[in-house]
Amino acid sequence: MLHRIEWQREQRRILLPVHVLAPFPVTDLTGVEATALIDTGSSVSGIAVGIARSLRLSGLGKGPLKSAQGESQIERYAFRVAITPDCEENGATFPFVFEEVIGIELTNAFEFSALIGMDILGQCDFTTNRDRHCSLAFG
Amino acid sequence: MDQARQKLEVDQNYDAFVRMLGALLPEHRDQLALMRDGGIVGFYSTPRAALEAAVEKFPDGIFSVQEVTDEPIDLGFWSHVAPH
Repeated sequence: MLHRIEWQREQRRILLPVHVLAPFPVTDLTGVEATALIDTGSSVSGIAVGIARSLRLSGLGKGPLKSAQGESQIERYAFRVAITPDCEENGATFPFVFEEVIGIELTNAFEFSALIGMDILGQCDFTTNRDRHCSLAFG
Repeated sequence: MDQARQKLEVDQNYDAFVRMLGALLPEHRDQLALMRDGGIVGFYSTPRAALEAAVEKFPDGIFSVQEVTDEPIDLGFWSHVAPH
């Protein structure tokens, strides 16, 4: 079943309310609210340090990060992202939980606390237009 | 879980993984390697499969998962800003 959420974005960036959940147990649907930046330029998703600590996540591995300063190593974390779609025809609104991703940890310094990269966005149909209307379909 | 031990495990496994990466790429590119004590115990196609195997094999939570790739993470919006 295809789920959809539609919203108005800001002029210069696309933010979306999400929930971040621990990777397991998969039946545990308690999570932390976050504001996510939709970033088509990022190959992976990420969560702020504070969210990782709230969910008691441990570093799961490492990976090389490419930046203007060269390459460095960053820690990877496993987590799940849930998005609550707009009302279905029957009036129900259950969050849709994406499968686990192995993402990265962000500093707490940004105006968003999560980053939705192409690992999750690639599972969705995403559109935006000049009137700032955004649509994300998934599931 | 012992966080200090897990951090040490991640570091040690990563050192071993980097040394093995060249040999792993031809057969396991883009798979996830589940690691313990510096060795690979399995390859998996999805994070869920790797994590389910890890929870079953290592109830103490001490393990790491490495993506078999030679492509670095690209964070797009901030990673290419030129500092002055």
